[in-house]
Amino acid sequence: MLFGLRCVFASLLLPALAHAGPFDRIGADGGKLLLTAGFSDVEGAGGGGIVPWALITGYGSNQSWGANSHYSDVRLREFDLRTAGIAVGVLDRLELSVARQEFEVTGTALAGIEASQDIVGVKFRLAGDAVYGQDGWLPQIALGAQFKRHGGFENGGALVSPTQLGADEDEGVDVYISGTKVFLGSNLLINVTARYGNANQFGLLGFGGDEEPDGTVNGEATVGYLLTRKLAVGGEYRMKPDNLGVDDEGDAWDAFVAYAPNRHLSIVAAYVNLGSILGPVTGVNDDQTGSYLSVQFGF
Amino acid sequence: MKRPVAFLALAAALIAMSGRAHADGAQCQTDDSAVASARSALTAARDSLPARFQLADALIEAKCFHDAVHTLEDGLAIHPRNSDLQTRLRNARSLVSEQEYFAGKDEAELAARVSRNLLRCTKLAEITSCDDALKLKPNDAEIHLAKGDALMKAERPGEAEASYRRANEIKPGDARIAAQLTAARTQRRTLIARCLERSDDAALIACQGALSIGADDEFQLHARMASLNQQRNQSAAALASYIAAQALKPEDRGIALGIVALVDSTMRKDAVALEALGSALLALQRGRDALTAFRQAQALSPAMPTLRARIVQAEKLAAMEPAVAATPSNSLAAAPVAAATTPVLVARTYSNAAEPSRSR
Repeated sequence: MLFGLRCVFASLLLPALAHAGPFDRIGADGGKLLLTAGFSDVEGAGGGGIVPWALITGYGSNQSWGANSHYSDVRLREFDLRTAGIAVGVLDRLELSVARQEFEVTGTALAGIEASQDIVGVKFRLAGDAVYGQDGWLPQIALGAQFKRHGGFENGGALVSPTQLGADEDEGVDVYISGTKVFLGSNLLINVTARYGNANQFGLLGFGGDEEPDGTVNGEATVGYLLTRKLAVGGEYRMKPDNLGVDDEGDAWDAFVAYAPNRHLSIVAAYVNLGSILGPVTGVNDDQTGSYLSVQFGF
Repeated sequence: MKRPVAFLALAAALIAMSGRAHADGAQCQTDDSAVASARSALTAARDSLPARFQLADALIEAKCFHDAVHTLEDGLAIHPRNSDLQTRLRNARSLVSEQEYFAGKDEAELAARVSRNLLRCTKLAEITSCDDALKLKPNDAEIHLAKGDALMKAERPGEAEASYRRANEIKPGDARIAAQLTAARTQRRTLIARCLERSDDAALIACQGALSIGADDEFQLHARMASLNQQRNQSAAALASYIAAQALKPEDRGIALGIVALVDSTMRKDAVALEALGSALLALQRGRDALTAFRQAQALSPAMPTLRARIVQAEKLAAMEPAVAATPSNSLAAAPVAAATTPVLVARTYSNAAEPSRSR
């Protein structure tokens, strides 16, 4: 399996490496248009706020590399999700990311309980170019995977592992394929993602569960509109599996505003709805809504 | 020649016994009205033989054989040559010796049973035999020690430690007990480390072996066993461990979450599970749902000891909770017990109403 993946990596990267000059490989050329590098989502992958895109993170062109770091805070009614991470895009072909999520219950009888999760992501651009492929219909298509490991619970008394909530595992893998297209003429970005996985609440409540142990395919989508060269607005929708008996997990969506004054700084603010979280045990069955704010530095 | 000697010995023993009873002067405790009236009649006429015989008969009837002998001996001092009195005295004395024979036989039987159980406990390490022996002699340090040894052989140092501790309380300063207690503690520490640090089958066995009722870490071990059983999809065993842990720390939110998850998935609806679910919901500040669970448990088992106090707690909490609007989706929370299967399902109904497509 691992050998097979290496072969795929090599076959995808070698042609790009052959085109890149020796200096381009070391220095970052910042060769992409402003706001076309995407952002880092809550799981660390290049994308929007909650949906990964097919774009490779950073402003590096196909002869160089780029990177992006982020700190995001999602403040919901009874929960707070903080994410920090860094992602590197190589030759506009390969993206590697690491992120750490910290999730805290701020309301209900579970207030004070904290969970953490580490996510390592990898993404390959398989075909197309979202920005420069304007003369064709083919979007940029990328295949990605996110390896997630739950770090356990704190301040939960005897609760230390998501398996105690009925989850099957405390680690899992999401595999996704994304197609992203930027319509420069109409200042529009459209992204569609299909994700296979069994993560409960992004993995923060473990993987699989008493109601559905196996992975399922769920759809995600983003629509963005560039108001100016530096300002974009949009919305995202992400379907989520519902595996746990103690959680009526619902779908998530957001409406965002992104501002990038230059190639090194971008700020994303959003109104976010992550659906119900642990409603059957907290008694709060309403959707968890709140703010999303992300500050990102990159090149 | 031997027979007269034996008779003499028996007579001497009987005289000694009667003398002892006489000397004790203790009266047999009886509420028998016949004895009381006969005693009054004799007090009124001490020389009356019929009154004395009537009292002796009443005492024998009430199985107060020693008192009967005493009464007749007193009569013999007044009427030394009365053959009827002598015959009655002889009969009464034989009843006394018969009674003492059977009492001795019971003691011998008891000793034999203890000895047999102790033998099986020590030689065969049969823990049930140790328990049987302890039922007969609960304060015997040797039996506690033997039970500890049997438990050590069964790799249950947690329980062994408790047995050695009890033996040590009964017989403080005994070097053998102290040494075994130290060994049990050492082995238990090793098992606790295995229980907490590993997550394989050996960890679960280690937790079970280290478990000691009343120890400081009892809660931690129950919780760990629950978690390990859950990882193995042993839901029933996990729930049992959570319930045991909950009895020690009813307010623990982790235990509460585990119980809610497992009662839901195991679909247990017996009184114990429902009481545990109610307590879990109480810990999660869900007064109304806790009350529903408690009332279901009460309907199944009205005599559960802690239920009444829990219901009072839940009622107080429910009274503080904001009123629920009477919509079809959430009115089940306040509905009669029979309307809902478990409060978790009640809670789930809310969100199903919000997301009809997710209705199960």
